[in-house]
Order: sequence, then structure tokens, then C-alpha cells
Amino acid sequence: MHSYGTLLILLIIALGIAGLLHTLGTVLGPKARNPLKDQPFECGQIAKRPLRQRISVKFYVVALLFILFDMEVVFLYPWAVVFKDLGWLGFWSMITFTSVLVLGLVYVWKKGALDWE
Amino acid sequence: MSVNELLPLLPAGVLVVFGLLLLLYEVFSNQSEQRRYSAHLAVLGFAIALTVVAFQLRDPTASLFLGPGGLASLVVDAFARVAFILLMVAGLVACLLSPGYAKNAGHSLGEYYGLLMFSVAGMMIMVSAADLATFFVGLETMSVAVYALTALRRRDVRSTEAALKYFLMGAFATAFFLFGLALVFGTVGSLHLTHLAEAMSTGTTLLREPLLHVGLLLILVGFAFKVAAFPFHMWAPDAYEGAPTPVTGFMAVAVKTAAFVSLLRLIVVGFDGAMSSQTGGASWTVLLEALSISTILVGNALALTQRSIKRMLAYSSVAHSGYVFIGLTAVAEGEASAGAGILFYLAAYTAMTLGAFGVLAYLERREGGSEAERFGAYAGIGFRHPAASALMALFVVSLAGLPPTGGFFGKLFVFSAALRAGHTGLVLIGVLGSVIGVYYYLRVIVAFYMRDVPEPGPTPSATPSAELGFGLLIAAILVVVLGVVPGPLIELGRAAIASLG
Amino acid sequence: MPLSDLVFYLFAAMVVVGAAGAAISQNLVYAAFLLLAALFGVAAIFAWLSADYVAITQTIVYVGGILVLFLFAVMLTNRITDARHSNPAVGKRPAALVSLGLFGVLAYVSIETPWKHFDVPAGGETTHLLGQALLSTYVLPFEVLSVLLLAALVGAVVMSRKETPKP
Repeated sequence: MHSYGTLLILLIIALGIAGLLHTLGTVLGPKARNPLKDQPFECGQIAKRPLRQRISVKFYVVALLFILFDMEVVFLYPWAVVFKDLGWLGFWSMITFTSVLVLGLVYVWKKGALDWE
Repeated sequence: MSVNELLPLLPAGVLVVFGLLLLLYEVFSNQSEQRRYSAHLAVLGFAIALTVVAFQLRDPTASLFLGPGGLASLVVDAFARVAFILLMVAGLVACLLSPGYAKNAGHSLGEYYGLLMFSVAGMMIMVSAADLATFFVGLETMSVAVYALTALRRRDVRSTEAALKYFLMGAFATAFFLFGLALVFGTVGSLHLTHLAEAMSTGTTLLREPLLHVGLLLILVGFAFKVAAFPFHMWAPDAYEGAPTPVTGFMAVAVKTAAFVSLLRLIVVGFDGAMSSQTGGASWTVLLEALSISTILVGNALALTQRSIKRMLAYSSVAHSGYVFIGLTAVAEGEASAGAGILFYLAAYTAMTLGAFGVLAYLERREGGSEAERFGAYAGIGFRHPAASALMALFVVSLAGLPPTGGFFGKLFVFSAALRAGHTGLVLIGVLGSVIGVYYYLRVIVAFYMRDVPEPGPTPSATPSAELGFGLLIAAILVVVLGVVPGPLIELGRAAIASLG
Repeated sequence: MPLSDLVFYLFAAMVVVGAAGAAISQNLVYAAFLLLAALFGVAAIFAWLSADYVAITQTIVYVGGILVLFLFAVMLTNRITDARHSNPAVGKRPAALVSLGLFGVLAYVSIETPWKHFDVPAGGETTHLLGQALLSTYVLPFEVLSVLLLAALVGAVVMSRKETPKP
């Protein structure tokens, strides 16, 4: 636990600063709201259509593939740490693991799931 | 570890390699070929793997991947090999049933067969796993592949709904299972079945720990979801109805077989003796009993009221889970012959259910929809498609448990073993369920042969294909052979159970 | 109360509040963000237990990956902010009853049980041990995992494929 104490402190400070600035902004800032003031001024333009647009489903595929390969990478870390102690058996185990997923990547690529259009 | 030591796993390896080949074939073959040979490649893969298992069937038990204390994480014994055969036959027949249906439904994908093979490979890990961590990875491999298979008919709202329901319920089951695993690990300190057996054996204080029992209960809930036992059966009818019909057949038989066979191993090896009434584990048998009674009654009662054949088959498969639970109850009380009965039952169930769904896949109308699956929509089919209808009659008779079919002997073996274990009441419930079953199964025959054909008659557009004929033939031969000469298989089952030690 | 325990309760509260909020919230966007708090709290508890590798994995995969996917799904769906009931088919009361019952049972047995104690290696060693176990004892599940990931990959591609074959 102790080795993460610094991390915890960092977390608290970061949250503290962000929270503090936000609170200060709302508490101290002048508040005189009317519709005219809520419009963007010199920083953009008035929205012409609803801002909440549907995002293309293509993002979703990419995100899914990202997570799957993310999972693969997660397994690479513990392997990399003990790589030298494991010898050839560990090496070939990892080669088998990755080659299955590389074949998967080839499949995804040729299937066109990575093409944007 | 030498390569030779891995030979017992070769069948699963063959399936994975062929699955990969199928994926590559799918993306590298040119369009003009229409990727026609995917199904053949898959069938070839299953055939090779089956041949390998057949040659290894008499091999001694192989313990693979020894961990600390010399405990194997995978045990390929005769039991596992028999289960391998069951699962791969299910996969093979499902592959044969698919091309005609896929052409009819407008999707033909090489990935379909690849996913099928990956899921069977996962099931093979499940049935041979000796520790629950390994088992879990196999379980998830199977589940993820089957979720994707359910969702294949993407343009079909019902298929999407089925996939979503199946996925959510499956994820729920996984969560229960995993939580149970964590609790068991917390009390036993290991996920290995041998350690679990030590903890469960008489005299240890661990047996009195409520946490261990809650953990095991959660694991059992996970299994109950997978085999669609009451009260965790709600997903079954919708998922079975919406999934592509050959996938439904595969889901109904292979997933269930894998789950039941591994539950059998868990009970025989992991619960070692703790279930017998002397050691305070009696509540477990009571629980299994309750599970089987309620599953039989609810499955049969709901199957009675269905208007769609697919839904009827779905609920009746719930009831079949209940019959298998009768056998598991007997196994839990130390009646080893019930284990062989369960294996036989699952073999017969595999053949007849896949066959029934195969005929439905053949007769299914292009537009699909729930209307097309009503009993009435099949009026007079018996005379328009005599061969398919005759096969359907055979499968349905077997499902109803009438002689001279595999279904009859399956029930006979399971029920008689339960009688030997002293579960007369349970067997009576089972017989009652079977009688109800005869009624709704015969409705199918009535619909096929004895209904007046309305004018103009509904015409399911049959898509004949050589593969489908071959697949149905295999299923029919299995049903008949199991019904006429049940001896060899039940002997094999006994040897399998004996190998569990 | 020692500081260490205080930290634990802080993060445990974060998990409980986040999870409960995600389950109860009527607004799916809020639910997703509350889930973020729960998942992050779990990662912090892992770190608190000196399970550094699991903590990092939890952050990378769940907080960084899965949750982003959730938010994508929320943004992909048209007018999802208008969606209110999570599931009107089952009443809230039976659900709450079942959950509370389950909680009662689990809480009771967790307190009653003498948990198995393991010697926790001093900080920073877990990745090493995990690597050893993963590639020796558990090398088979490890290899099967690649098939599992592949099946998920194929499933994702098949379900999102562009061409829509006409019957």
C-alpha cells in the first residue's frame, strides 16, 4: 500500500485543484444570466442543428477491435517481465498466442473491417 | 514438456487450426468461388478430429499441464474423450445442416463455421478441465462464439433480439459463476477439483463453512443458466426461436452437453462423497432434486401451450434438462451407473434434437417470422415432403421417448439408475413429464400428416442440399442405432465414468 | 482508524455509490459515468491490496476501454438521453428485495467465514509471479484465451459487417 501513497496524494491534489477551481468559478464569478448572454460570443457560433448527433457505427467497430487487442497487450506485460527466466517454452507459448491473434488481425484486415469507407 | 505429451489435445488443436483456415479461406478466396467449400472444410476438420479421438479412445488417461503439487489443469480421460466425440458429432451435423439453410436465409459466411469450431474447441476444454480456472476459459470461449452465432441474421429483428437476450443472460450467468469461483477460492484456497474434493470430503471443517456452499451454489446457478433449467430458463425460447435454425439446434445440444458433462465431472470428482446423505451434504441432493422436478414440470407445461414448433422444441429442451438432472441427482448419491445413463441420454438427445431442428431448417420459409413456424403452417407437409416428414416423425418419436429409438433408452437408463438410488418420486415426475411430452410431440406428427390442407396451402419453401440430407441421415441413423443396439454405447459410458476414478 | 483503512473505506464507498447509482439512475449517460466511478474504485482497491498488475489492467481495460465503449454506445444511439426506464417489465420492489436478500446472505457468510490467508508478496512482485504462473501452470488457459479473443474478434466483425446480403 505504502508505495502507492504518493499516487494517492497526487490523486487527491489533482481532484482538489480541479474541484477548487470549479467551485471558485461558480461561487465568485458574476451571475447575470439571460438568453442573450448564454449565446456564444467570439468563441464559436450558434448551433444550427441539435448538437447530439449520432456517431457513425464505424467508431464502434474500431473501439471493439481496440479492446480486443488491448486485452492481448495486457497479457504481454507479465510475459515480458519474466521473459528471460522462462526460456524457450515461454517464448513459443507466447508466439502461439500472438500468432493466433495475428491471423485474426489478417482476417480483420482483409475482411475490410479496418477500412473507413 | 514434449510435443508428444500434447497429443491428447490434438483434436481440439485440429479444430482451432481448421477454424483459422476457414477464416483465412473466407477472406482470401475469390468471390466467384462463392466460398462454397466452407462447410466442406469444416466437416473435414471435424472428421479428422473425430478420427484422432477414435484412435485415442483406448489410450490411458493423460494429465496435462502439471502445476504445483503435480496437479494437472487438464485431464483427458476416457470420460473426456467420449464427451469430445459427442460434441464433435454435434458440430459436424450442425455444419452439414447449415449450407442449405444459409442459402435460403440469404447469408453464407465462412466465419459461421469458424465460430462453430472455436466453440466446440472451447467445450472440449470445459469437459476435460480439472481445475475451475481452466474450465472457465473454455466456458467463455464456447459462450462468446455461440453469442456471435446467434446474432448472425443481422437484418432479422428476432435474431437480434435473441442474440441480445442470450448474451445478457449468458453474461449474467458468467457473473454468477465467477463470483462463486471467487468464494470457493476464498475458502478452499485453490480452484483445483482435487483440492475441492479434499475440502468437501468428510471430516474437514471446511465442509461446514457456509461460504463454500454459497460459492458452489452460485457456480450451480451458472450451470443452470447454461442448460436452461428452471428458474433460469427464460432466455431459452426467445433465443431458440430467433437464432438461425441450425444454430438453435447446435445451441440446444452442444452447449447443453458440454455444461452437463462438465457438471458431471464436477459432482463426481469435486464433490467427492460430500453429497451422500451421511455427511451433511444432503441439502445438495435436495437442491438437485428440486431443480429437476421444477424444470421438468415447467418445461413440459409451457411446451404444451406453444403455437410455434420452434418454441415448443425450446421448452421441451428445458424439460429434457430436467430429465438429465434426475440422473445428476442419482450420481450425487453415488449411483455411478446414472453417469453412464446421462452420457447415453445426451448422445440420443444430440442426435434427435439436431435432427428435428435440421428438418425445420429444411422446411423453413424464406420470409421466416413467427407465423411461419406455427403448427398450422405445416399442415399437410407430410405429403409434400415425405422424406423430411418421415425423418421428423422419427426424431419426434425419439424426443417423446418412445421405443425403438435412442430417446427411449436414454430415459430408461437415467430413470432406472435413479430408481436404484431410491428416487422413486423423482422418477414418477419424470415419467409424468414424458407422458405430457408424448402429447405435444405427437402434435407435430398430427400437424404434418393429419390436418386438412387449407386452400391455398401454406408452402414452406424447402431448400434441398446434399449436405443437409447427409446430416439428417447421420442423425437418423444415430437415433435408430441407439434405439436398437444401445449396448455398446452404454458400455462406453460406463468405461468413461469409471475413468473418472 | 489508521489511514490505510480510511483509504480503503473511501474507495469502497466510491464503488458502492457508483454501482448503486449506475443501477438506479434513470439517465443512461449518468449511469455510464457512475459506472466509471465504480470501476475506478475497484482499480484503486486492487492497488490498495498490492495487486498492482490487476489494478493497472483494470484501469487500462475497464476504465480505458470498456467504459469508453459504453459511452460510444450511448452516443451512437439516437436520442438515448430520452430513454428512461432501464426495465419496466420487472418492478423495482421485487428486484430490490432479491438484491437485499442476496446481500444479506453474502454479508453473513463473508463475516462468518475464516478466509484463507495468503502471503502477499511485497509490492511490485505480482507481475513477476503472474507471468511465471501464466506461462507454466496456466499455459493452457492462456493459449485458449487467444482463441477466445479471436472468437470475440470474429463475432465483432461479423456483427458489424457492411454488406447486407439480400435473400
